[in-house]
Amino acid sequence: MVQIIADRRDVDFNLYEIFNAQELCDHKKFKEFNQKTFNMIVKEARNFAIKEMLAVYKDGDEIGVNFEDGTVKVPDSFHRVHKLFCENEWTAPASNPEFGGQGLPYMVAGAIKEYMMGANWPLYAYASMGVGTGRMIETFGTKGQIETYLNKLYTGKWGGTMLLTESDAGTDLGALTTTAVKNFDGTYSLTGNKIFITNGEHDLCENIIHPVLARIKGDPEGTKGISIFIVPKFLVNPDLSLGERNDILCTGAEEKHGIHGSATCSLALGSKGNCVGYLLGEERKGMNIMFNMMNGARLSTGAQAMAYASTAYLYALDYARNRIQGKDLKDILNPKAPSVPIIHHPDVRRNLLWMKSYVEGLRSLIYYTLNCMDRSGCEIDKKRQEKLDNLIEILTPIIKGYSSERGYEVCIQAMQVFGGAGYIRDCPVEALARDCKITSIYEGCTGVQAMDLLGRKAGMNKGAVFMDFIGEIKSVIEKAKQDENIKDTAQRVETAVNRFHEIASHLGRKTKSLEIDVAFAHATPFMEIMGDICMAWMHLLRANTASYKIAAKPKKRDRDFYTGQLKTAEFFIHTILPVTMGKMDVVADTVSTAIDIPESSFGGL
Amino acid sequence: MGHFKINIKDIFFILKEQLSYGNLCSLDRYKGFNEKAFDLLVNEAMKFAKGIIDPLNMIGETNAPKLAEGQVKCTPEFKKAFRQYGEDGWTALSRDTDYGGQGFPNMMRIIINDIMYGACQAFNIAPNLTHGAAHLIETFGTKEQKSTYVPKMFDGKWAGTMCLTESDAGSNLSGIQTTACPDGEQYKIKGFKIFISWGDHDLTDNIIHLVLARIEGAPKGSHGISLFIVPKMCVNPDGTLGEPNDVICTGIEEKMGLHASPTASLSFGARDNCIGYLCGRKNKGLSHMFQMMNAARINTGVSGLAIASTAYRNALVYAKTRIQGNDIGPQKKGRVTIIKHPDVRRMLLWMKAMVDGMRSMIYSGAYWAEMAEELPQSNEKNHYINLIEFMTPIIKAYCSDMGFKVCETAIQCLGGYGYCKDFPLEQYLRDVKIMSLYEGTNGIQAADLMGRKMTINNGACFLAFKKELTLFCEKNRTDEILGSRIRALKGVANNLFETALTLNALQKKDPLQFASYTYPALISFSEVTMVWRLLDMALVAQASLENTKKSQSFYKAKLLQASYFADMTLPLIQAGLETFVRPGREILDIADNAF
Repeated sequence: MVQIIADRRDVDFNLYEIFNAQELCDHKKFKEFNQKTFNMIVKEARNFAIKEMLAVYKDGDEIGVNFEDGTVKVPDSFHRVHKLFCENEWTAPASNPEFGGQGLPYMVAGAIKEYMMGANWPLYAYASMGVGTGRMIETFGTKGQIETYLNKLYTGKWGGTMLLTESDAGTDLGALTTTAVKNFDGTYSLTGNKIFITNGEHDLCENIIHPVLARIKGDPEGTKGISIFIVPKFLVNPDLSLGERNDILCTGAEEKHGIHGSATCSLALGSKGNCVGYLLGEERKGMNIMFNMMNGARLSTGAQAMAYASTAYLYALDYARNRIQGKDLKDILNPKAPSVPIIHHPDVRRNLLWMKSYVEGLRSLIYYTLNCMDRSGCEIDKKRQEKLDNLIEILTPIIKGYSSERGYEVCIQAMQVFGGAGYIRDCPVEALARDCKITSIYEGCTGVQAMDLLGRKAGMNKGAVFMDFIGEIKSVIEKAKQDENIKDTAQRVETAVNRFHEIASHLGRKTKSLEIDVAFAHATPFMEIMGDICMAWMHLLRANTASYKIAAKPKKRDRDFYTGQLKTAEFFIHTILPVTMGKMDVVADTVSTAIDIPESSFGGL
Repeated sequence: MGHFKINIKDIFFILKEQLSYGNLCSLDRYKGFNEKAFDLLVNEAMKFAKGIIDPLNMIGETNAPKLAEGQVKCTPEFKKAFRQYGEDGWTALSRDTDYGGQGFPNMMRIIINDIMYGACQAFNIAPNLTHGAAHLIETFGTKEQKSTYVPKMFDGKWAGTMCLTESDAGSNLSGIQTTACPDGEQYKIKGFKIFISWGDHDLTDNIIHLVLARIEGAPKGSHGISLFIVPKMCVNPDGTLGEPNDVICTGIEEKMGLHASPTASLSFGARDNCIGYLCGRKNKGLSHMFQMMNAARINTGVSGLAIASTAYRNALVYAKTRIQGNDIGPQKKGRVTIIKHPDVRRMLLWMKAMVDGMRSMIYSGAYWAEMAEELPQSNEKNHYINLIEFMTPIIKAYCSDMGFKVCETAIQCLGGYGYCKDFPLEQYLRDVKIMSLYEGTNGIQAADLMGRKMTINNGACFLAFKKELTLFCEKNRTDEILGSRIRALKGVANNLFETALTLNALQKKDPLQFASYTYPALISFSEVTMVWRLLDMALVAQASLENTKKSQSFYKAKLLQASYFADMTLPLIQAGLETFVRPGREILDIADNAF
């Protein structure tokens, strides 16, 4: 198959031209790497994603998973590729090499992930979710736990999950009812039912390690009383061989809108009264520990949505270049004029440029955040490190919330380019759209991200984190203002950012007033606005970088790419950002209608 | 209990209080009716939709039609429902009595479709296409053609389709390659059609295809296309069925949604033995077809609305019963139903305004279409003809785009459950997606609105729209409660009108730049229309609030949804206007290989 779905040029633009991953190699943490080795690894990942993972994607969508008698079977073709994936050591590119990781910068790992998630997310997730589980154990586990689980999780030999949700405790985890009773030997016996567990059961790994949220008998209600336990599917003997089957059983797999290749499981713990769990970290610290993993999962979900969007965009672009339909509008009255590829039609171009602006804006925002993670990892100055960590914190709800919403919209617009053919299962974008829809729902739905942003992150350290965020944008604006090519565009962004600052202060004050509920009725619009601002910021940064490159008189292909960056920035900042200004006017008004309306007015049941 | 949820009060509010649809009885064609008869019909449709159609939604989804040996087979429940739909008179209720209709207003079809589509979109496409095809024959066919086909199609014995698309002629129908070769009084048809909804099935003994084809020697392009009646089974002079007519189903598509509606590829005349009968005039096929097409476009908007409507109600039921999380407000009420959470309320209120606004937009359009069709020749009639011309692409594009968006939002209210097949919402989302794609993609609608509809008859369509909206604003601008929003609407609308004229003027000078911004302009016209219709409903509700103590919260909702939608939307429209007519040309200038 012709390789059309990896946006190699733009990934490289981010890695080496905007965020300069190669500079990380000056630090001792990454000293064994250089740009060449990064390139080689990313290239291998890309080839593997396209040749192996993409090739079995359809099986996941069409055959799906099969639940029978407590077991889940994935499509046959997944087995070989999964095995290769682990053998080739793609499971934990950025993890600690001491425990089986590859020790790459997050940015480079991000490029690997992007290609793989875009090609076949369900398969990618089976092999790599153990890293999240492992990271939690690495951070909070005992020495024994680390020795028992970590290597197997990082190398993909064992799978990992996260068991949070119950049927009455989804967004509201404090309501969970799974209980844990301490045994004489220090282990715990767990009882309860979990639902919506991604990869909760499957036949790809010999063991699955479940981190489980539960309440120790007698502990307080709500989130404060929640602890976290390691519950392996098979108990592990002291010599690390597998022992008895633990009493955790899969009772079903959901029929879903998309991600058919991924097993979404219901799990029963302790139905025979014999589910063994090991406390991770301290008692009643479960939520904190889980959130450590959750933040990573949220960033990853944002990247997942971006990967779908990028893939969908590139499929649509390929179609637009090849589908011949209708005459060029210039020649509409000329009966002899030939029909042209639909990329010539302005309305199709508008749609493509719209998609491009979001895909690339989101990509840069994600790589920026990964870059912050890498820089934080290398930083010795605690203050500077904290600043970077806080930037990641404030951007996490944007990357999860905004990227999942816009990423989905890109998939839908990509279908639109195909016309009726976009609705047919043969069209790869159709499945991507269905798959992408999950990203705005799981790992904390969009509304939860918006509340996290407005209620927690925007006011962190008395607003100092928010000021640092604004400062980051302003420094890009200052640089761009020196650049004749994009001076006006930079001015526009400056106006918008200043206005955004006002809006944020205004809404922040409201959250501390009696009108707190009115403020939170604007949480999602606020998050959308901040997302738009981030896109404008990234486009300015991209344009500034490109403008600098153009000055060096590159070859035609590169020149077109860089000029394209200027055009894309112009499009976003002059066509989409003005509407954001309108959105800010709306938030400034902060009308209370959504709160005032009586419940009965929504209509009876 | 079924999946289909609707509040009939919302429908009757628009019909009776906002539009006074009983007034249609003063038109000549409807003088035999009264409002009560209309009400009765709506209530009967509700019963039929809930009793007969609702269960089909799930049945069809899990037992999709299958193609075996050239024949598409459907589940028996569909067959039974199709027959009953025709026999009970739903297919032809708005047609004249000559061939089995009941002479109801066309508007009633729109209302009935709203209800039936909500209950099962995939099923209702079949009788609706049958109606469209039969009505084409009724309008353009010979007397013999009419009596042969129309009564049997109206009463559910036979079905109908429209066969336009070919693999290289989708948005661009002038590329059609199917040919018709004269053979005495009739024609031999030869060619391949794709994406034919209900193109083959076993619901009926016969299917009457209306096929666009080019008579040999006819001019190239859209002026050489004619319309043909091509039955699946030949019909003997005595009306009995003869031999198969060499129309073969070569495949059905696997689709994102609408699984119960077979989308067929059809081969005509593979054995050179497919007979077609010219319907209407030679080389006028496209313009004949457009009669059906305009109705189909409006109905596509209706589908978007109908699915959105039941999606909203499903989300509402969930939000009112699902307990999750603590109250955020200072009162600390403990764990609450999620409708108490501000972000959920925001989504619900937006969806409610959206559904009510789209419904009012469509029903108003249907009412104006009655005026356009049934008033005697007059300036007033022309006004309505122009107005509905302008509204058609708006209804098609906006209600399909936003119907989808409402379904997406409804899923969001349910969280993870919304993504699973245990609830109907994920199916709604898949089903409704087609609406922005078929019957002319929404990009085509935008070109139609900003190009053709802004221009034809010296801009008469645009002026009719402008006049109607301006009249509304002028009349109500001093209203005590809603006046400020009405004035705001007028301000934004005036700016939009100006911008639209500037954009339209580019069409000749700079067609490419013009076409770069037609779609956002269509959305602005649509949103202005929404605000207008919602404010109109609010004014009516306000009067009712003063006159009666009943249904206070119901009427209050109409006021709140209008002010909410106006407050949320007008600033965005205003902010966007400058972007359509700015000089920047990056959409055109960006190099093809920079994408």
